Amino acid sequence: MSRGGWLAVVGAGALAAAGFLFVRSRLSSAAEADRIRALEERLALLEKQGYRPRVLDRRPEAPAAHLVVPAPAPMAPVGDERSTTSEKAARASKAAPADEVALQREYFTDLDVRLSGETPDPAWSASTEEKLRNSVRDLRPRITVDKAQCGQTMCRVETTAPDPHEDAAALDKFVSASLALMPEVVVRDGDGPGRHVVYLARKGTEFPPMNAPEVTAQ
Amino acid sequence: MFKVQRAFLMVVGLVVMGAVPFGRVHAATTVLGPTVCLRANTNGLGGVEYTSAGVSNISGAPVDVVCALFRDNTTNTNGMQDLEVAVTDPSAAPGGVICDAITQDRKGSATKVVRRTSTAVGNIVLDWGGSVNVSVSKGHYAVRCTIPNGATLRSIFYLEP
Repeated sequence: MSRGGWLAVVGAGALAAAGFLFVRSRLSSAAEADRIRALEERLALLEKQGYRPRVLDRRPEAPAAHLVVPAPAPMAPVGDERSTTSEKAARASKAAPADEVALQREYFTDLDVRLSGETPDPAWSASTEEKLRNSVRDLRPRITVDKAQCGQTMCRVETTAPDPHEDAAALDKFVSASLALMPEVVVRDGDGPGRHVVYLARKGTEFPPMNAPEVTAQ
Repeated sequence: MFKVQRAFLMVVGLVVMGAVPFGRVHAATTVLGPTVCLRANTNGLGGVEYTSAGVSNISGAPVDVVCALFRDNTTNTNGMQDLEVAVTDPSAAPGGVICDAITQDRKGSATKVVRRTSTAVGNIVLDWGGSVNVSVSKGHYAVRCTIPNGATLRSIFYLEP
């Protein structure tokens, strides 16, 4: 083959690679847009039903930033946990700090949406809420349960540590006590010093992973 | 012939250059021995015995140990893909080994905690699978276990994305 022929082959290869990159980026953007649209639709539906999400005043650079992710993935039975070790999860999630705050906000909004859509289990919800309220009675450092709500598969508890200096220790005590009731807990910062929102998964279910958008879209 | 070699090298170069952006960091698999664990709430001293085979509770009563996990992927938000703790429990009845896998933020607050309780005795493996699936960038991981008297924590296996 002549030199021109080889150059043509190489040029075609480069063009194909560039085309692949372009199409891939467009697909990724479209998937992201679809995901955000789906979340907004769910929020709109819930707001029609009277749900008012709490808006946290948290800036991306705030050091108090915590978790959050999307993934409308259903609560998986514990037996399915191996599926999360798949290659899909292997590509997971490197989030820049600002992205991570958004990721956390979306994740916990999704949990709030899920809980608000659950009908309380009469045989479990009220009694579990009561146990969660009572679990803090003898804890030191002190921590209070401001609100406890349980649905079918999970509970949401708002807590306050009166002494912000002992916030982490008090939260640790509450989480340890709660694990005796439910074996899986995720925590996010509340809307003030010493305040947290604790989500607990009912035995037999688990919370979804906090994947970055690129993982969720795949 | 020279032209063919040159063209071949150009194609190889382009392929390599194209592959770099698509390259992914491989998942990191780690196994830690027992010396990463310290007895909790006692300045790490007393009541436990360390050997290369494990950290054993010789206190006569249950003790808590806390183990630090080295985190190679320091920015991911989806925790670990797998986590297993190997324990030998000579107790007569199961349920004495209780371990919490914890992801924490940089303020010391837990972000996700998942508990596993032994359902057998002898050589057992507590398996979290991929359930420890929430983490914070630059936060850290730990395992906290309640070990019955006479039991030995052998090792910790985990897989990071």
